[in-house]
Amino acid sequence: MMTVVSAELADTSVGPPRWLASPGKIVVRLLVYGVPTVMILAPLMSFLAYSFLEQKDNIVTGHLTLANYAAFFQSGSYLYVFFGTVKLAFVVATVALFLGYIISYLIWRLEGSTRYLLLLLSALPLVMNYVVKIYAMRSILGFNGFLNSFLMASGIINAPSKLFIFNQTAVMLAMAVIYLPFGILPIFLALERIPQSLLSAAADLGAKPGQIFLTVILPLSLPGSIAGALFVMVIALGDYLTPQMVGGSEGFTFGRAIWSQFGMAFNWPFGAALAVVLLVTVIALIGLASLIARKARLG
Amino acid sequence: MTAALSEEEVVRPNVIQLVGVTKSYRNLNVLKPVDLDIKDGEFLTILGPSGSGKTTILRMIGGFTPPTSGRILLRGADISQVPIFRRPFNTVFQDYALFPHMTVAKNVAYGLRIRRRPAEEIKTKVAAVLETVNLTDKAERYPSELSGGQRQRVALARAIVCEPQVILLDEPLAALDAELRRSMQEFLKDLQRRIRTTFVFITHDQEEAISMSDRIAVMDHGNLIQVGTPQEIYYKPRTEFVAKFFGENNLLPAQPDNNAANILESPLGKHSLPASAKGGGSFLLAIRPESFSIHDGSELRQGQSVCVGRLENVTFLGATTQLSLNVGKAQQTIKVRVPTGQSGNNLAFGDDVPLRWSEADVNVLPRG
Amino acid sequence: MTRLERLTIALLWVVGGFTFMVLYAPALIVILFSFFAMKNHQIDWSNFSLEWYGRLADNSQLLAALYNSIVVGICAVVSATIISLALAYYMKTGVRRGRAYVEFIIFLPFVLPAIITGISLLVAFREIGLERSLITVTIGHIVLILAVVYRMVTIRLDTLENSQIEASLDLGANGLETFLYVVLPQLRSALLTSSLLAFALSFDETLVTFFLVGGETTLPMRLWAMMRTGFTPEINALVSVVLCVTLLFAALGAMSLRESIERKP
Repeated sequence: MMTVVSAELADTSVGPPRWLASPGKIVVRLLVYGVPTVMILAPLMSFLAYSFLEQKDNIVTGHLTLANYAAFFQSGSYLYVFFGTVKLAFVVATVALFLGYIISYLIWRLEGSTRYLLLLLSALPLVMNYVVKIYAMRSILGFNGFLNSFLMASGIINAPSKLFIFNQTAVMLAMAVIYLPFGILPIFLALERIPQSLLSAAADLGAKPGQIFLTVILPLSLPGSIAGALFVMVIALGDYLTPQMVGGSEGFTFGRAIWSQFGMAFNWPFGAALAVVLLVTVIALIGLASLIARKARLG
Repeated sequence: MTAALSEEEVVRPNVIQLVGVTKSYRNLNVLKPVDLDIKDGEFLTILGPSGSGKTTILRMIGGFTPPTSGRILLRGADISQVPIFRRPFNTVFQDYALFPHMTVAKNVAYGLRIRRRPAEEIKTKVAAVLETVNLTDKAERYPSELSGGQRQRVALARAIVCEPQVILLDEPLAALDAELRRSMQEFLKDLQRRIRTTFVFITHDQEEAISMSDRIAVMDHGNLIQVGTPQEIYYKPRTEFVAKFFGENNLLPAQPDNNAANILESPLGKHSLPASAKGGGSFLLAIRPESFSIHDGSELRQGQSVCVGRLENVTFLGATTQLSLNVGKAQQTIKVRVPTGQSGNNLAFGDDVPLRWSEADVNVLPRG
Repeated sequence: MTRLERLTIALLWVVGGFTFMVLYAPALIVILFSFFAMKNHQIDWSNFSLEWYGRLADNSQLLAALYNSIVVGICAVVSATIISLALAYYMKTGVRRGRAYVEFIIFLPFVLPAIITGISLLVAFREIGLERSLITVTIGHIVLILAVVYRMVTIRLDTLENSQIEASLDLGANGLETFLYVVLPQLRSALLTSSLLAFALSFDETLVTFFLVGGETTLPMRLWAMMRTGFTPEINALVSVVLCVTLLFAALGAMSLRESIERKP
């Protein structure tokens, strides 16, 4: 402590304390910390606050209340939609993990320019317009869509099937296709992190390729891959447009429930409360993902 | 630091004075209070191992780091609070810090352009400086197209073109290979003589410091240990650290004589304790191997002493030959370096060799 | 490799190939449908036509939306770039204890679902009494793309040696001059890449925009509205155009990214 005190004394003997040095610096500091706070943190806070406001007869009264949360937890239908959506997102993430792992593993085994090209090709759908992808999925899955036409033309079915559109399956299929590319890249990076020397060591110790995969590659890449899949689950949880487009009335999801509060139902405080429930779920998932990723790094 | 000016200071005024300058990060004292005068037109080297605080001093002079306490004076005026870009110093960085997106000429012109000098003046000055560093033909190249030595000279040119009062060099030769390093050392020294600008040069290489500097400031663990000419530093080290840091040295333990307080006893014999070395306890004697010569039996001059050592080893070093001899009751090994012809070539291991040295070459150091 | 292993790999390629097909099928089918009509659940290959593309040019609503999207994208990219540059340069030129805080906040909209960001901004705009318009959309896009731009700027800035900045100051340039003459020129390729990427993100943005859009609308919003009202072959043509434009941008971005990696001094 002595040195700290003497240093401070010395500073004042040299001139004014550093933080007083220039008012310009204070302005800069205010801007640097203020702009992100005002643009991002403040809206988040106001949205959190909104979920505790009371609404009566379509008017926000300004009183604090927990009624919005109570309404969610006491309503069977909202809870049902919530857990249904969590399940849906989980299935989408699992599909992304499974297929994403296969694709990443195949690309990872390659060498040279094919490797780069295929990696680029698997990332390219990320930049395709989101609305366009939903639209395309609908034109594939729809009653008069490509899938039905294909199945009928090949004689598998006689009449167009309603299995693929306006239900939970349709939402699941569309989301799986749209969000799969988000899973490929993290899984590929998890595979890339495995030191080449470990594979050589395993081979040197007599492991066959299949054994190397099961004993070295899979255990080392799985945590990172699961973290990537959890990221997909987070995105799928918050989507409210895909279910609207291909889900119809049967494909109602939690995202749509939140959206409707800000649109048709116009109950913002309740919508904010539902969004907070989503936020908490998402934070839990992200926390889980970073926990898994950290565990994996510590070995 | 006394206020009165000594004679030499009148002749060569101080450009920069550090007065009680310290630096600490949190509770870590990187630099203990340092007083240092840098004289106009001199080549001063700050020498020390890594972590000794030498770079910190340079960065504080340059204005890159503020001192925690103390003052930095430029010709008497306090510049401790003056920002980097207003200080009349220029730095040659260890990694050269050439701007990769500018040609050599643009790099060199940068300081002048910033000062809004007329285009014509910039052109002439840049051309002249590039001439000085032999890079006229590389003016339109980019730094990435140059060799290490060439980049080094661009960095120098960029620093001198603004005609600063002091040029600060932060281990500029560290990245070069041995041969290039030697030629750059000569080039630097020569350049400094021509442009008569004060150079403050940082290095951890003792030979470099000795061969280039007018004065050397030796640093260790945040302390400024000794400042002096290369000869003073080499022959009159004030601490064990300095004595060991430069070249080969004999360090011998010495105790005060039981009977006479101002007499020291060492494996070489008895020495009078200089007034400067006060206090009881034990001391170290430092004496250079080349300060000994083989005693030929001729008459001793004033202040010369003689002792006998048993020859243990002979190493031929070219112009000189190094003898390892055991002296004193404790059979302490000392190294003696004599011109190769002088050893007589007829010495055999186990021979008793008479040695002669001057007491003036013996440095009594506190044992730390 | 044993026979079983070889078989497994072959099987994996079949699955992987099929997955790739599924990933690209939507885009390919839409492009196909924009040139050919369907007859009796089969593509009528005999009837190639550019008719739908021709009709696009006459759709003034669509062109207005396209124009809005471009304006919003440019404004958002420019603003986000300026903010990112200022923040990143501030963090670079000193030990900043608040760096972790600022970066955490900036990355939030990138990590959280878009619906959360959308609702947050919607609520905040209502609280300060800002009407929904293209301005609110632009602010939303800035918030979203800030993470990407800031990240790419800091990655490049972190590789810039501190001695570059110190050398410039040492040669007499003040902070602003140093930024303009030494830092900015070396960030050029990073800024190009991040701008392309950020523009592509903004151009596509739907899930946040939905909450913030007022009377004037962006292209994805227009597309959405058109799809809700019914399927016309015109949409296929429009979608194909949008796909090609975004792919062009992505290709440009990938190229400049590769260039900036290779050019690293």
